[in-house]
Amino acid sequence: MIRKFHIVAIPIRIVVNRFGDHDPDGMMYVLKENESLIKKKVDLNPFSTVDEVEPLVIRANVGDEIEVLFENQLPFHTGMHIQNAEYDVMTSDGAFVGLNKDTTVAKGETILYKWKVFEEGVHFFVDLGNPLSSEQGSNVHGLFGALFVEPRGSWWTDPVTGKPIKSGTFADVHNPLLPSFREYGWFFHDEMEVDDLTGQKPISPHTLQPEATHLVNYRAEPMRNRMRLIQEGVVCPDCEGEEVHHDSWVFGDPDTPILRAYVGDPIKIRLVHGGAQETHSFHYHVHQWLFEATDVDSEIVDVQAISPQVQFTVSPMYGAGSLHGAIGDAIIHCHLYPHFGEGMWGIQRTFDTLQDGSMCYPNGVQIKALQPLPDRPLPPKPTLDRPGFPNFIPGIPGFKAPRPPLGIENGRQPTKIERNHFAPNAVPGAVFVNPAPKDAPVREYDVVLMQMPIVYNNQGWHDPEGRLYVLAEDEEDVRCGRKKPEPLVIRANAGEVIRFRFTNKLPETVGGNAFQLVNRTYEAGMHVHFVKFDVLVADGANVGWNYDSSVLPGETIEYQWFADVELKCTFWHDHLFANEHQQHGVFASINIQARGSEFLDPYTGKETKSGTQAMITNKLIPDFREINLFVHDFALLFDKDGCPLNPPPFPGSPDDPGVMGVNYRNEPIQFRLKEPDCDPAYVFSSWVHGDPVTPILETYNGDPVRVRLIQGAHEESHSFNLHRQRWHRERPDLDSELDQQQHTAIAETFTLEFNMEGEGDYDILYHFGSLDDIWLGNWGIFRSYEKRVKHLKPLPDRTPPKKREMPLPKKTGKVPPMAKIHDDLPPHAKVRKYDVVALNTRIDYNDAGEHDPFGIVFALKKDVDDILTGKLNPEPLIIRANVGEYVEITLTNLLSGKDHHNGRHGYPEVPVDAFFPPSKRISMHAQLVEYDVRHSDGATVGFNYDQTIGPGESITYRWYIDQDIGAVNLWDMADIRNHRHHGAFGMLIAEPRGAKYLHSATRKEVETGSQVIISSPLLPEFREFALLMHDGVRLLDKNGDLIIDPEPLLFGDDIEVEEETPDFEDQGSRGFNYRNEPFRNRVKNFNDIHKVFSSKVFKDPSTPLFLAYQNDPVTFRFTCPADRPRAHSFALHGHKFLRSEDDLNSSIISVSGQKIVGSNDDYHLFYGAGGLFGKAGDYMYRSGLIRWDVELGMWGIFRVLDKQSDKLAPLKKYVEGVPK
Amino acid sequence: MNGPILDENKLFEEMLGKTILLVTNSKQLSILGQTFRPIFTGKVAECTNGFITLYPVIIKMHNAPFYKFPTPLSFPLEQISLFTEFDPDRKIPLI
Amino acid sequence: MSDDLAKIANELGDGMININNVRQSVVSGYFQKNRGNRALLLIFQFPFLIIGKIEGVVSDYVVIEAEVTNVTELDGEKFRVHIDDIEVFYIEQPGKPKIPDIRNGKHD
Repeated sequence: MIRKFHIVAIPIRIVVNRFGDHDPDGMMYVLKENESLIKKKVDLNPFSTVDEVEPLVIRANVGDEIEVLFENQLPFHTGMHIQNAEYDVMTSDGAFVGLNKDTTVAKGETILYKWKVFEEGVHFFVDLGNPLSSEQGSNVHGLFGALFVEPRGSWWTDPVTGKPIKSGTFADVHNPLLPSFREYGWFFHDEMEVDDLTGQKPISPHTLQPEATHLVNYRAEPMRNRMRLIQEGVVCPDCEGEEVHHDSWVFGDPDTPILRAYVGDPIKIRLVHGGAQETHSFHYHVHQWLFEATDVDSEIVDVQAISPQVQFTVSPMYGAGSLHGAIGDAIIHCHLYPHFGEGMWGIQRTFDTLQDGSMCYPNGVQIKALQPLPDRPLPPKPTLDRPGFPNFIPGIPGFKAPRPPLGIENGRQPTKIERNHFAPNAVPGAVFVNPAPKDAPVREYDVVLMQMPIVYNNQGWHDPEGRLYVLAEDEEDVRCGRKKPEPLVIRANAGEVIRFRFTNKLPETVGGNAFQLVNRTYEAGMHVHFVKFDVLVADGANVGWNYDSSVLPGETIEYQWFADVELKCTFWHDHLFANEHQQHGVFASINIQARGSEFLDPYTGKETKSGTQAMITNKLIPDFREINLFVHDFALLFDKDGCPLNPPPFPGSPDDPGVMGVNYRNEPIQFRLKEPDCDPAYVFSSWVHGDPVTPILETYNGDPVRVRLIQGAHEESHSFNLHRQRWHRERPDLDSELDQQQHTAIAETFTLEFNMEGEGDYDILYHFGSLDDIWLGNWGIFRSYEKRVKHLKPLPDRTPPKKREMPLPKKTGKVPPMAKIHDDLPPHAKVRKYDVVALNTRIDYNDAGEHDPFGIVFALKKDVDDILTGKLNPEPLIIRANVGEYVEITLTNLLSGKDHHNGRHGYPEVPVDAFFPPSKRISMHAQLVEYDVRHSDGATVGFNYDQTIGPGESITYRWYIDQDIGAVNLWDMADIRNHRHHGAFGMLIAEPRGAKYLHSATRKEVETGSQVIISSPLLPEFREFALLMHDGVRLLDKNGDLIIDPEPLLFGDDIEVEEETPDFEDQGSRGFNYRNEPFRNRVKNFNDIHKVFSSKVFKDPSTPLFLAYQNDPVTFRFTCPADRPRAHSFALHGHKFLRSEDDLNSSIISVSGQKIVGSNDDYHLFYGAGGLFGKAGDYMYRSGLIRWDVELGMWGIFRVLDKQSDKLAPLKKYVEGVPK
Repeated sequence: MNGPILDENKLFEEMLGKTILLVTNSKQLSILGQTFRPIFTGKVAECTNGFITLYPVIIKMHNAPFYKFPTPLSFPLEQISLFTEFDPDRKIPLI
Repeated sequence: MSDDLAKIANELGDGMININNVRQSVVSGYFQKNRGNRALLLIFQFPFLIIGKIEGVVSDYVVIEAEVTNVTELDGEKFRVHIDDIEVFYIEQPGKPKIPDIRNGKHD
């Protein structure tokens, strides 16, 4: 069916909370029929929120055609660019790209867009008429929305009135063949310029400094406003702030979304990232869902990292309240604590009684009616004896939530009405719902949260206020140094009840130094993920109208968790003062193992109760070794002399203070330069420096391993990279991608499962990807032994390793000998050889003369002369090999070692900068291929031999392509600080067996190139476009002056620029394939900004121009080789692909997120070039980050031709008789 | 199909009028894009030598585990992997 | 043994009952018998859901004119569905619930 909408882009004052925080220059899409009403309401209510001011959500069904008459009322060109839909790029792209017609419109004009939709889910739309990153752009002011596509035959009603609705973020969706569900649009939005009532940037009453605002659905409930009420004595004057930030007893409900449901109601949260810059961490208490909503084998998650313009459908298993039907308030928030604190949270409220509008919340505010879903049982009506949530909880509005009944030792008695709501099997810690079956086995832990100094490395970096959970029986040993402090990891088996006694032994305050002002932290708890618990009394938090399930210093509370199924590692932490002290180490894990498992200490072989490493044995599945790695940023450390490391601009500032760690340890590479050479090539070498202090996992060759990966704190993206070993992205799904890298945001957890395959004794490197991480010491070693070592017990079910005759290696202080390939190729092996040279050369990034004079590139030997004579402006080395082939890379080092510095790099900067001269050595590491780590890893790690080479030297690496691993990163491991961001990377692509690689214009066989035809005997020919997305680049302009990026592009003289130093992760220029096309080189006039992507107005961009004919099969190969911890997203206009390329059940998307150092993807476009309808035209590929990336030039054009061109050879006809 | 139930199919006939949990062969099924493991509970309303019919019948969708399907559903016996007598109100993990 | 079953056993050749074959045949027979009725089929394979009128049965294939599938573009196709691949089905019977028509976008 055809659905028609008339949508207007309007300027509107957006008030984001009842405290009057607002964006005076807000912008939004509205339906024409609502326009005057909304404007009127906003005029009448200039200082308070207006319900109708929310991101526009319209709905359609799968198979529908949508016609949007779009009207622009903003004083610049705008449009609507939609994702995931099929459309004609010439008429409905909502942008002005390449040689296309302009499909944005000027003020007062209209345009008709036509879309067709085929998949359920979020179809995000956004303005690209004004893609500026600053306040002069449209995105930060809110100009985005979404089309939600529902299953065929659906209709939707208002959850309050039950009447049909045409738009709105929340709806009840119904279908004759499917359960009705509650649909909630949840739009993350960052970087909006929010002012307070005085028109100034809001001030934090804690730091007295300006503060940012983070939003959901144009709303924010930051702590600062609520805290002011405490400080003014309006509410609970004895409170501090963070512990009651989410407490509706104190403040009433927040202005951010409250997702209301009855217990058991099916739910779909349409999670949309409408923002510009940050990769957020969506966390939903109590509930879990499938990572891939359409794949029942998918991994279950309860946290999802999400980058700008990326979308997910979050459909919690078992509906509201999860399996056990937990009533109460489950907070939903961005887990990045500064964002959480600055307003990015809301509540899922699960009622147990019917709400018809006649009831009130305890503070007298009406509970709006909530229509029961028509196919669900009617909830009971509230009665005086059984009023239902929240009215049985004996709190007092204006004061902190009461403490839960039963759980607190020597606590209060429950009231009669509370008792009426008790579960029949109520126990302390599981009072209103107790999911534990009657005879479930019980495991008990006594946990203490305490403070002590924690030393992170041998150079004395330390946290004087380290805070950590320990088992009560270990407390003394840890305090007096008999046991090393590490994040607490406990274990339980599926089907078990875990009961805790938790005692808060923290001091009353934290801080009072360069990092933090003195702040009370007098309450603490244990908030857990994944397992089943009663959210009212065991959330370890203080949320909404729930109880405050924390305790004061010296108090003890009981919690109960039930592990219904085997889970991954399961994160827990404090939720009361998380933003103040989680970065001091307040994070832990309970790993839920398969039923019947036992947990042994890997060094004694005895049963163990806790520890980041264990051997897990089980009679039915292979025994395995387990290591928990907690990565951590905002670590507020001091050096040995007591000087703060990377202090923030002022105490309490969330601007990336401190350093990083893994399990309370780090090994900064600045301390691993040995005089006299101080060569960075050996920073990972244990021969030269001894082993790092970071966690080392020891195994015997072939041992099964599960790495439990968690980010414990606090705000950054990290990218776990492991050499040599591979795992399935989703452990339960063998169709999921084979990975060697994992992006992680705080609170996400992953299980990486593999066998330590290999020969001899060897070390493999793990690290957290970005320059900043490795610089600050987030790396370590997994060590595998071929023969028995005394200190490490073998796994009980494996054949014991043979006796060792040779002693283990020890630090010598000397550079290790060179590694050499010492085994022969199997007979008849197919070997593809590449002669590769590493050299210094100038790289020109664009036609405006922006260049890197100190570029370091890998190139084929035959191209070296052309590069050095300037005939060839290098692009990254892109090589290919077919599945089943060996690749032998002979790498020769022609580096001159020249750089812009002699030891102090400067911009782009790192935290805690130090002397670190460029290495003259070089190497090449490849992801995902099979190889012997002792000679073909490209890294000089641990007690492995040297795999880097000096000037004039050559080395050969041998890799085997055992399966279709697609595109992978190649990069140098000799000097992370000085080489990678200059271009020392490339791409290797695994192609189908028998494939030939043909020049896209001549069809002659080629060895390299970003744009080729892949021709193989059994598969259709396809065009292959290779993109390497990289940042942290150091460029000079055409005059030789240093370009400091990012700097917002501003027009006009009277523009106030806020002086804000960009975060470390944003520093540097960026591009695709050593090219970029910054706006600054194209647009000189604000009125021309909508033309910035146009090749009619300007030239084609310097970034790769990819060509195809209509419907040509196309695969984009995508990698992220460098350099910073800023995660990006990759968007392609008008085309779709699978989120997991090998899994046909995975989601169909057109924007892929969480792209960071080590990412590698293959996007096989559905239906080929031009989408389903094969429309010719220019399709933009770009980053999804409107703030910085796009403006700094991370965009390009994929041109679909309808006429034959001599620049592009046609693909072989693969269907006889069908003319091209 | 009319006629007596064969001995080989008696185990199905014994379930007539009872409520069961039933799982069929495939990894997942899809109704209008909503995927689910083929786990069903319901009352056995009909038993033939080729299929059984549940009505009322619940499709145990992971996000809506008590979704009552609007029509009866029949299951070819050859497609059934397992069944057991079962209280349809019981809550069970589905993942 | 009823006539139906005897007939099936006979058709299968040796007069012996192979329970798997019998079960399949009974399902085929049921589809055959309900020619002209609307049916709902769930199959593991694409397009996963087919609702439409049974036109007939040819050996162990049911011919069904799809009014609705998961894929809009396939509405109206005449599918021959291998009956052994049908995992779940319902065929409308007088006095029993009707299969909802989702093409109108709303319940009756």
